[in-house]
Amino acid sequence: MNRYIAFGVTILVGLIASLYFAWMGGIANVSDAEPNLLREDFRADYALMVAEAFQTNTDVEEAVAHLAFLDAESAITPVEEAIDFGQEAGFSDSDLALLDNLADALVVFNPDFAPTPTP
Amino acid sequence: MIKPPERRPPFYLVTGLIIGALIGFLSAWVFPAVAVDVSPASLSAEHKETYRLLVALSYAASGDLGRAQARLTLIEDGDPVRALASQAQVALTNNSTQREARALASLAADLDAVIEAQQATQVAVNTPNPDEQGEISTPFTTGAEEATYFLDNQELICESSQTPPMIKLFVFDPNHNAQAGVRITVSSLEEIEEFVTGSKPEFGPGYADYVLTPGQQYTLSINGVEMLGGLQAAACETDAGEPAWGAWLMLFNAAE
Repeated sequence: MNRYIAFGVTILVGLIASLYFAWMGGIANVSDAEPNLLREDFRADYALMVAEAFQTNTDVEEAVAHLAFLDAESAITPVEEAIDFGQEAGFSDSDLALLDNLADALVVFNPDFAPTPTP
Repeated sequence: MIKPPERRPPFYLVTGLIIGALIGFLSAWVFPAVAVDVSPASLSAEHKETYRLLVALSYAASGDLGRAQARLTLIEDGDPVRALASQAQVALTNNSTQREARALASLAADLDAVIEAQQATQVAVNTPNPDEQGEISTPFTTGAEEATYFLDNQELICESSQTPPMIKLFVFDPNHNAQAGVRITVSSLEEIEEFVTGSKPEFGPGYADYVLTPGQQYTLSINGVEMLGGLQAAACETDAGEPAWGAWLMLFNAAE
């Protein structure tokens, strides 16, 4: 009986070890990730880049097109997330103002972008 | 005579490990791991291009080269200048992406200039002047008083969140040798500070620096000639993403 238990344990060890190396190796070598998988700070910085570009060309449609890269529910979502992140991470006032400005422009462009008020 | 039972090596354990490993690799192939919280370096080539374009467009808007450089580092291009230039060339072929092409090309050119300036500074600081070898460099033995200078390059470098806002300047003579003893004056509404290059020989004979007070505007003069006005402390972001005060790195060359 002990032999059967030991046999089962070695199968389990082999399974866990191979899954670990296969999954971890796969994650470490990711080279075709989708933008929606970007880490929160990179997403926030991307939204900030869109806001910086918007500052000079004030082209909302272009900003919406660039924000679609992040594959969020709506164009304003990554901007609001970036504002929240920026406030926590200590973005400068000028950067936060750029993001606020873009968020306002998005709502004016399409009122559906306005965040749903919580009851 | 009873023969003792033969002890065989536990091959079944090895078999168990192999079976487990095979099942594991098969499972990982059928259900591959999904990466989350990736960096821009993990994006596909197509998405990296979009990211690079946004870096260029935001640089075109803000003019903040330090920030653009930090962002490009995240993509981990082997040669960011070449990547930008190649993308600019592709964009140039399409009429609807001329603005993007200009933004990409502009960032490529500015980044190239900065990298070249950094390399030139490194070489200039580390290469001893054959004429000066064997002499001890002293600040007041150069005859730099008669020379006139021009600003060859200026950039904001973001080294550490611990360093104060600064001016770091290097002065070179007409032969591109670092030049000690050049009189620098930094003035604001509240103070006037005068110093000479070469007082910190560990950074090279042509080096001088000055700590700025945030909110103040400064004017920089060399040998009494005003070179630059409206100079201010500037905030930046380090490669690690920390907010920091930047150092204005300036290269001045003597006119021939």
